[in-house]
Amino acid sequence: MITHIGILNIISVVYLSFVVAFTFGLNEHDVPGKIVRVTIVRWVKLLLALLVISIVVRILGRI
Amino acid sequence: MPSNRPSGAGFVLDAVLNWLIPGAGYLRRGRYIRALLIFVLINGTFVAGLSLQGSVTPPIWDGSGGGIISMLTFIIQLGSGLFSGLSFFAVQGMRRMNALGFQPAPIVRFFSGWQPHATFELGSFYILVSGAMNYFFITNMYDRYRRDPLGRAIARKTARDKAS
Repeated sequence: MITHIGILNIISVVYLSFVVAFTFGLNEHDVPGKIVRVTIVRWVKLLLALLVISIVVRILGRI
Repeated sequence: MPSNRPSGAGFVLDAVLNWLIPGAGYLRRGRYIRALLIFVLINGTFVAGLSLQGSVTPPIWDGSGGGIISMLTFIIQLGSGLFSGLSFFAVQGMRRMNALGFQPAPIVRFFSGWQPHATFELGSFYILVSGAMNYFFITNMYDRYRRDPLGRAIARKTARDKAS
Protein backbone atom coordinates (compact mmCIF):
# COMPACT_ATOMS: atom_id res chain seq x y z
CA MET A 1 0.00 0.00 0.00
CA ILE A 2 1.27 3.42 -0.95
CA THR A 3 1.49 6.04 1.79
CA HIS A 4 0.61 9.73 1.41
CA ILE A 5 4.34 10.52 1.37
CA GLY A 6 4.68 8.11 -1.56
CA ILE A 7 1.84 9.84 -3.42
CA LEU A 8 3.48 13.21 -2.68
CA ASN A 9 6.76 11.92 -4.15
CA ILE A 10 4.99 10.73 -7.31
CA ILE A 11 3.20 14.09 -7.71
CA SER A 12 6.58 15.80 -7.17
CA VAL A 13 8.18 13.72 -9.93
CA VAL A 14 5.45 14.81 -12.35
CA TYR A 15 5.61 18.48 -11.32
CA LEU A 16 9.40 18.84 -11.11
CA SER A 17 9.92 17.08 -14.45
CA PHE A 18 7.46 19.60 -15.91
CA VAL A 19 9.48 22.48 -14.39
CA VAL A 20 12.69 21.13 -15.98
CA ALA A 21 11.04 20.51 -19.37
CA PHE A 22 9.37 23.93 -19.39
CA THR A 23 12.62 25.69 -18.43
CA PHE A 24 14.48 24.14 -21.38
CA GLY A 25 11.54 24.82 -23.69
CA LEU A 26 11.46 28.49 -22.67
CA ASN A 27 15.22 28.82 -23.10
CA GLU A 28 15.27 27.22 -26.54
CA HIS A 29 12.31 28.90 -28.23
CA ASP A 30 10.45 32.19 -28.44
CA VAL A 31 7.27 31.11 -30.20
CA PRO A 32 4.55 29.98 -27.72
CA GLY A 33 3.40 27.05 -29.88
CA LYS A 34 6.93 25.68 -30.14
CA ILE A 35 7.55 26.15 -26.43
CA VAL A 36 4.40 24.18 -25.58
CA ARG A 37 5.15 21.40 -28.08
CA VAL A 38 8.79 21.00 -27.07
CA THR A 39 7.87 21.11 -23.36
CA ILE A 40 5.20 18.42 -23.69
CA VAL A 41 7.42 16.13 -25.79
CA ARG A 42 10.34 16.51 -23.37
CA TRP A 43 8.10 16.12 -20.33
CA VAL A 44 6.58 12.88 -21.64
CA LYS A 45 10.03 11.50 -22.55
CA LEU A 46 11.35 12.34 -19.09
CA LEU A 47 8.36 10.71 -17.38
CA LEU A 48 8.73 7.58 -19.51
CA ALA A 49 12.42 7.38 -18.63
CA LEU A 50 11.55 7.75 -14.94
CA LEU A 51 8.87 5.07 -15.29
CA VAL A 52 11.42 2.68 -16.82
CA ILE A 53 13.87 3.42 -13.99
CA SER A 54 11.16 2.82 -11.38
CA ILE A 55 10.24 -0.54 -12.98
CA VAL A 56 13.91 -1.60 -13.03
CA VAL A 57 14.33 -0.59 -9.38
CA ARG A 58 11.13 -2.45 -8.48
CA ILE A 59 12.35 -5.62 -10.23
CA LEU A 60 15.82 -5.38 -8.69
CA GLY A 61 14.19 -4.84 -5.29
CA ARG A 62 12.39 -8.18 -5.59
CA ILE A 63 15.51 -10.18 -6.51
CA MET B 1 39.37 43.35 -31.74
CA PRO B 2 35.61 43.49 -31.14
CA SER B 3 34.05 40.48 -29.46
CA ASN B 4 30.60 39.03 -29.07
CA ARG B 5 30.65 39.35 -25.30
CA PRO B 6 27.47 40.64 -23.68
CA SER B 7 27.25 44.38 -23.16
CA GLY B 8 29.03 45.15 -19.88
CA ALA B 9 27.03 46.86 -17.18
CA GLY B 10 23.61 46.31 -18.74
CA PHE B 11 24.03 42.59 -19.07
CA VAL B 12 25.59 42.15 -15.63
CA LEU B 13 22.78 44.18 -14.05
CA ASP B 14 20.17 42.07 -15.87
CA ALA B 15 21.85 38.84 -14.76
CA VAL B 16 22.06 40.00 -11.13
CA LEU B 17 18.44 41.20 -11.20
CA ASN B 18 17.35 37.90 -12.71
CA TRP B 19 19.15 36.06 -9.94
CA LEU B 20 17.69 38.24 -7.16
CA ILE B 21 14.13 38.20 -8.49
CA PRO B 22 13.62 35.47 -11.11
CA GLY B 23 12.33 37.06 -14.33
CA ALA B 24 13.37 40.61 -13.41
CA GLY B 25 16.23 40.63 -15.94
CA TYR B 26 13.83 39.75 -18.74
CA LEU B 27 11.35 42.32 -17.43
CA ARG B 28 14.02 45.00 -17.83
CA ARG B 29 14.55 43.81 -21.40
CA GLY B 30 10.83 44.25 -22.12
CA ARG B 31 10.07 40.49 -22.26
CA TYR B 32 7.03 40.76 -19.99
CA ILE B 33 5.33 37.41 -20.58
CA ARG B 34 8.62 35.51 -20.36
CA ALA B 35 9.46 37.40 -17.15
CA LEU B 36 6.06 36.54 -15.64
CA LEU B 37 6.38 32.86 -16.59
CA ILE B 38 9.86 32.63 -15.07
CA PHE B 39 8.74 34.46 -11.93
CA VAL B 40 5.78 32.14 -11.40
CA LEU B 41 7.72 28.97 -12.29
CA ILE B 42 10.75 29.62 -10.08
CA ASN B 43 9.06 31.28 -7.12
CA GLY B 44 6.09 28.90 -7.29
CA THR B 45 8.46 25.94 -7.03
CA PHE B 46 10.36 27.64 -4.22
CA VAL B 47 7.19 28.39 -2.22
CA ALA B 48 5.98 24.81 -2.81
CA GLY B 49 9.29 23.67 -1.30
CA LEU B 50 8.79 25.92 1.71
CA SER B 51 5.23 24.60 2.10
CA LEU B 52 6.67 21.09 2.31
CA GLN B 53 8.77 22.34 5.29
CA GLY B 54 11.94 22.49 3.20
CA SER B 55 14.55 25.23 3.41
CA VAL B 56 17.92 26.31 2.08
CA THR B 57 20.28 23.91 3.84
CA PRO B 58 23.51 25.49 5.12
CA PRO B 59 26.61 23.42 4.24
CA ILE B 60 28.01 20.95 6.77
CA TRP B 61 31.79 20.79 7.34
CA ASP B 62 32.02 18.86 10.60
CA GLY B 63 32.84 15.47 9.12
CA SER B 64 29.40 14.04 9.92
CA GLY B 65 28.55 13.96 6.24
CA GLY B 66 27.96 16.35 3.40
CA GLY B 67 31.17 18.26 2.75
CA ILE B 68 31.53 19.11 -0.92
CA ILE B 69 28.09 17.71 -1.77
CA SER B 70 26.38 19.86 0.87
CA MET B 71 28.35 22.89 -0.38
CA LEU B 72 27.24 22.28 -3.99
CA THR B 73 23.65 21.76 -2.84
CA PHE B 74 23.83 25.02 -0.91
CA ILE B 75 25.21 26.94 -3.91
CA ILE B 76 22.46 25.59 -6.19
CA GLN B 77 19.78 26.31 -3.60
CA LEU B 78 20.97 29.92 -3.53
CA GLY B 79 19.97 30.21 -7.20
CA SER B 80 16.58 31.69 -6.34
CA GLY B 81 18.25 34.86 -5.06
CA LEU B 82 16.16 36.89 -2.65
CA PHE B 83 13.93 34.02 -1.50
CA SER B 84 16.98 31.80 -1.02
CA GLY B 85 18.66 34.51 1.06
CA LEU B 86 15.54 34.94 3.18
CA SER B 87 15.36 31.19 3.76
CA PHE B 88 19.08 30.96 4.65
CA PHE B 89 18.87 33.84 7.13
CA ALA B 90 15.61 32.46 8.55
CA VAL B 91 17.36 29.11 9.23
CA GLN B 92 20.24 30.93 10.95
CA GLY B 93 17.79 33.17 12.82
CA MET B 94 15.74 30.20 14.03
CA ARG B 95 18.85 28.54 15.46
CA ARG B 96 19.80 31.68 17.36
CA MET B 97 16.24 32.35 18.54
CA ASN B 98 15.81 28.76 19.72
CA ALA B 99 19.12 29.00 21.59
CA LEU B 100 18.01 32.23 23.26
CA GLY B 101 14.50 30.93 23.97
CA PHE B 102 12.68 33.43 21.72
CA GLN B 103 9.51 32.62 19.81
CA PRO B 104 10.17 33.29 16.10
CA ALA B 105 7.60 35.10 13.93
CA PRO B 106 5.42 32.88 11.67
CA ILE B 107 7.11 34.24 8.52
CA VAL B 108 10.54 33.25 9.92
CA ARG B 109 9.19 29.78 10.72
CA PHE B 110 7.79 29.48 7.18
CA PHE B 111 11.10 30.40 5.52
CA SER B 112 13.20 28.24 7.84
CA GLY B 113 11.31 24.97 7.25
CA TRP B 114 11.34 22.19 9.81
CA GLN B 115 14.13 19.64 9.53
CA PRO B 116 12.47 16.78 11.49
CA HIS B 117 9.41 16.86 9.20
CA ALA B 118 8.91 13.89 6.87
CA THR B 119 8.79 16.11 3.77
CA PHE B 120 11.80 18.31 4.67
CA GLU B 121 14.10 16.55 2.18
CA LEU B 122 11.48 16.70 -0.57
CA GLY B 123 10.80 20.39 0.11
CA SER B 124 14.52 21.17 0.05
CA PHE B 125 14.74 19.33 -3.27
CA TYR B 126 12.02 21.64 -4.68
CA ILE B 127 14.18 24.59 -3.58
CA LEU B 128 17.21 22.95 -5.21
CA VAL B 129 15.34 22.55 -8.51
CA SER B 130 14.04 26.13 -8.46
CA GLY B 131 17.57 27.44 -7.88
CA ALA B 132 19.09 25.27 -10.62
CA MET B 133 16.42 26.32 -13.13
CA ASN B 134 17.00 29.99 -12.33
CA TYR B 135 20.74 29.53 -13.02
CA PHE B 136 19.72 28.14 -16.43
CA PHE B 137 17.58 31.24 -17.07
CA ILE B 138 20.47 33.52 -16.07
CA THR B 139 22.98 31.78 -18.34
CA ASN B 140 20.42 31.77 -21.15
CA MET B 141 20.47 35.58 -20.98
CA TYR B 142 24.11 35.44 -22.11
CA ASP B 143 23.06 33.58 -25.26
CA ARG B 144 20.13 35.89 -25.91
CA TYR B 145 21.71 39.27 -25.28
CA ARG B 146 25.28 38.99 -26.49
CA ARG B 147 26.04 41.85 -28.86
CA ASP B 148 27.69 42.27 -32.21
CA PRO B 149 30.65 44.66 -32.76
CA LEU B 150 28.21 47.53 -33.34
CA GLY B 151 26.47 46.90 -30.04
CA ARG B 152 23.35 45.36 -31.58
CA ALA B 153 21.78 42.31 -30.02
CA ILE B 154 22.36 39.20 -32.11
CA ALA B 155 19.15 37.23 -32.74
CA ARG B 156 19.59 33.95 -30.98
CA LYS B 157 18.88 30.95 -33.13
CA THR B 158 19.13 27.38 -31.98
CA ALA B 159 19.81 24.52 -34.37
CA ARG B 160 16.15 23.56 -34.05
CA ASP B 161 15.00 27.08 -35.03
CA LYS B 162 17.27 27.08 -38.06
CA ALA B 163 16.05 23.69 -39.18
CA SER B 164 12.36 24.67 -39.05
